[in-house]
Amino acid sequence: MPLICVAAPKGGVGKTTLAANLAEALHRAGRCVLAIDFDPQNALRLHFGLPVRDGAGFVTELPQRPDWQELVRHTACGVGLLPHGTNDIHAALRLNAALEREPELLLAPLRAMLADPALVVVADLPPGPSHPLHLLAPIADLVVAVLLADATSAALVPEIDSGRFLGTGTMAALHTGRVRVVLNQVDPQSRLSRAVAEALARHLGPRLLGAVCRDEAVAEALAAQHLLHELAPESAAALDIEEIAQGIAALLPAPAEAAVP
Amino acid sequence: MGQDSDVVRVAAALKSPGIRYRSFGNEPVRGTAHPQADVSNSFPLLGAAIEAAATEARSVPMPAEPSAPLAGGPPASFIPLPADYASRPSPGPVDLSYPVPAPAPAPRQAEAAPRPAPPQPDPSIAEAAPRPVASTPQPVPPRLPAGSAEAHQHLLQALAPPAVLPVPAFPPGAPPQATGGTLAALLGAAAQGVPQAPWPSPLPDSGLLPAAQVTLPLSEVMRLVATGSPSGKSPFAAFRIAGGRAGPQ
Repeated sequence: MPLICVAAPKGGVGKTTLAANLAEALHRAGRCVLAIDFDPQNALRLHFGLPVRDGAGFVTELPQRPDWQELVRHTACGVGLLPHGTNDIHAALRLNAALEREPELLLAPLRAMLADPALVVVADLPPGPSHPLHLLAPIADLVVAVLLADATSAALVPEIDSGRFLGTGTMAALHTGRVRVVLNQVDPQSRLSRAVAEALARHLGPRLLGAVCRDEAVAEALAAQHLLHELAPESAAALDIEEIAQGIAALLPAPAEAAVP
Repeated sequence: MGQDSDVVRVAAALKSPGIRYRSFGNEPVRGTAHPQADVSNSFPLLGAAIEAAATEARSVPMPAEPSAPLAGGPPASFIPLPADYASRPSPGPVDLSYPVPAPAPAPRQAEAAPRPAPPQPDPSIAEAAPRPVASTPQPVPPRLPAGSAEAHQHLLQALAPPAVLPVPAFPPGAPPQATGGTLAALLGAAAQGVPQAPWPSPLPDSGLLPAAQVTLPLSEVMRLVATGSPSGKSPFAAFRIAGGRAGPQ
């Protein structure tokens, strides 16, 4: 039932990597997890071992209003996966216009999936302001905003504070309360990275959900098409992600409670 | 081993099958395995991606003529802007509102009959479905004057503790605790309070610390109020900036 959106005000922050590994960590913690890729880069599937050539996904089927249950892929780690699918620019623009006219194209099947009380949905969203983020933020239980410990990310914190990042207009303050921040690729050896991370930690306070240190094992895991816990479970980044997953699990209702209507 | 096949070839060419390979203790020139093979074995995504890209490239026909070089001036189709372009009046702001399609004209026979009321949408859907992006008014951030002090504010100085923290959406459940790792190190460094020299935290001139920087529990302050401070300091000293403006005792 809970919907966790993993988003970022800018690209290249490791949002998809974090979404994939958080989904797997939540699954290991005993949750039934479905990871949905709303990002046209269609990269979430690679973390779960799907072949590069496998371009199938739910977005290409969306105009035909498919049953999403039938499109779920079962991955080796046990996480259910709905890949975005490969789309060309014309199809993507047409779909965007269709979603603007009829948001229910996306929301209705998503709500059907969320009706399962035992299911935790981890949604990987496109970077920056996007139509899926605009649609999903109002129904999300938690929005995990991923930032780097760099100056550009620091400059984008006001976008998160103000709610402009979520694009939710007058409801921004309400939705901003559901945003938690994860600092990714924090480099303890870098003076700037340390300074930015500390400044952000002071500024965000309890809204800082976690921090992941810079670790080569993360990139190597993707290149090997394995999740980080499979390839390097004792790596520093894997332990950081584990801690973030525990933090998220603490925020969510327990699985037994979720079954109660 | 690579040298074995070399020796066999040499022995065959010289018709001297008795030739044997001896290393004399030297390292073999040829490696036992190709390093490229190790990399592709470790990272199968790399090989798969390159192969997929190569297949795509083969399926797309190459242009008949080589493309024009990027350097060496503008392309032939380049038309320079007219000389008075800069002085021309601005065409005005672009209308980014989403064009709503005009309703289809009703047939003539139906005009006489009263129109039935449109069906009301399901309230649950109407509540959950947000309005289209174009119709949601977004606050436009103000543009600061170029000479203002705020415009020159340092990037990290803009990250002072917020005046009002948003209400958490998760009242039940314990907040995430940093048990170790990067977050714990980060919070430990941040809790030391004094930021690094290049990015001093702006302090208010009221003489009071921001609430987030007060570390003394409120219960202890109340105890000091009730029993009096043994050091003779004000019970509220923990709320003030060290060396700041003195407040009422």
